Amino acid sequence: MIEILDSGYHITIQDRGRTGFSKYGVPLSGSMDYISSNNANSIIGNSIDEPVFEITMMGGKFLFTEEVDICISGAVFEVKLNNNSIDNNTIIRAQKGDILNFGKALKGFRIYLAISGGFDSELILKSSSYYENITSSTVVKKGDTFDLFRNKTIPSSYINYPELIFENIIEVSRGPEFNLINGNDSELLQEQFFTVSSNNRMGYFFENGLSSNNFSIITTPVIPGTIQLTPSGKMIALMKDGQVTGGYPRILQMNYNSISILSQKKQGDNIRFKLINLS
Amino acid sequence: MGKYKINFFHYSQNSILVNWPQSISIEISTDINTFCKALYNDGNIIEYKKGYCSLLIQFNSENISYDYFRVYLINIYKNLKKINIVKPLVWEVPVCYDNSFSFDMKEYSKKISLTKNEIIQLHSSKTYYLHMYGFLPGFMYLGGLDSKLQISRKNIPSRRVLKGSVAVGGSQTGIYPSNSPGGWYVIGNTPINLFNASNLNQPVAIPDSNYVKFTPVSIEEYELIKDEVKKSEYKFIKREFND
Repeated sequence: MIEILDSGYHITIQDRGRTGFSKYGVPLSGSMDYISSNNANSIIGNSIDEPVFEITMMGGKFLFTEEVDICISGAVFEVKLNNNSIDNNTIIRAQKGDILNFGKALKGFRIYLAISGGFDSELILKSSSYYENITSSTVVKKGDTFDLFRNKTIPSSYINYPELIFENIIEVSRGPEFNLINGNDSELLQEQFFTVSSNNRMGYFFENGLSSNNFSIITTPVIPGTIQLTPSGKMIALMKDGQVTGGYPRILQMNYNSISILSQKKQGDNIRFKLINLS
Repeated sequence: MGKYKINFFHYSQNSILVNWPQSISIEISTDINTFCKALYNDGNIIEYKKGYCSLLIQFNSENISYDYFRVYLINIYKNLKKINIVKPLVWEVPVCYDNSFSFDMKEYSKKISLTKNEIIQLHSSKTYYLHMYGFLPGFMYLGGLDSKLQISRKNIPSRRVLKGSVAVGGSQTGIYPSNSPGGWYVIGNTPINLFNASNLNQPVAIPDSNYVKFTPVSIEEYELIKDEVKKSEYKFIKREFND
């Protein structure tokens, strides 16, 4: 069993999300940085479908009441197993009674903890990903306990270059309303750095933007990775818990890797967009 | 043969956006539905999401290329036959417009220059077409609000709108399926549940492409229905839609 001794700043359980329910208004959810959650699962020998803990910004203390292999991947945190620092992207054996303690994020913003064989978590609409009004919990709380499954799943051979998430180039393709923006803004978009302001699992906002506008479109579907342009000229990058419909022009679309890269950015970090063609 | 000129857009690595003429109408929504029915059992489709006049389809990009998939969709639309879609139903949704729920009625009434009774009468006499779900799990996009009831959204959204709130904003009316921030004017509340996450096959109470009609109820009736809902004894009143 795993017991939560300290719930940190923001810890949730995530997997690959709720595919198939957007038609009922249900967001996809799932790991913000799928590169790292997949790496954590794959390194430990789990399937990439196995739920993991997503630990954001700082904090979190996990007690292991039995021996089990674990792997952490993603942001670089101050993290100790008892009194020993441990590294990302390696298999680590937690012994009975060991305490895994997360400090601050030193580089990046989100780290994933995978447990060999998986752990018990509530499955709602085919996913364990926490989401308000879907799962009974929205965050992991002090005192929560999770039974270990010790599943023998078929491991995924997926392992991605773990340093990719620390890039600051966000690859984007043109969104359906890209052509609404003028030439000057289109250049700005590709040349300027944009500074992350507030952000959460629903979306990332930026301090600087493009010119203000009065574009309006009829409510349309959107997906994680869609970047919308608001009337003020500021952009919203929709992330994994983002709404499934939106009424702002969709000017850009991030690819999977870019969503992971942006997920590792925090307030004050700078990114640049690089326009790519999809085909 | 589909009725409209539709176009395609390569939206993401594994999704394609299909655009119908950009306007809101039951005819366009019906055409999108017919198209979706024709797609239904294809193994290359991961999921699709309807808009008022567009459809975003995620496809299995490991098995099929964008260009191939686009041609495949064009052919489906070309050969689209009029299929017998199940006759839509009108689902009655009980709404209590009592002052204890209609938090924004006073301001709304003043802004659109109608009395509370006129608002209730107009709001509950129409049938609204359920185009699609979005915004929140179980939130219905309903078309057909009387032009006299239309109002621009609040400048500053309310931080917390209560679950079940029946509200008006822009040219739309809707129900908040859960507590949420929101920018619409709240004029009533329904005791029924619109979304049930434990129902895997049909988490929403009312299937899209049906009609919704609001039935005014007193606060006593509201409490009775709420009690039935709690005991899972509540049965929707529904009838066939006749134009």
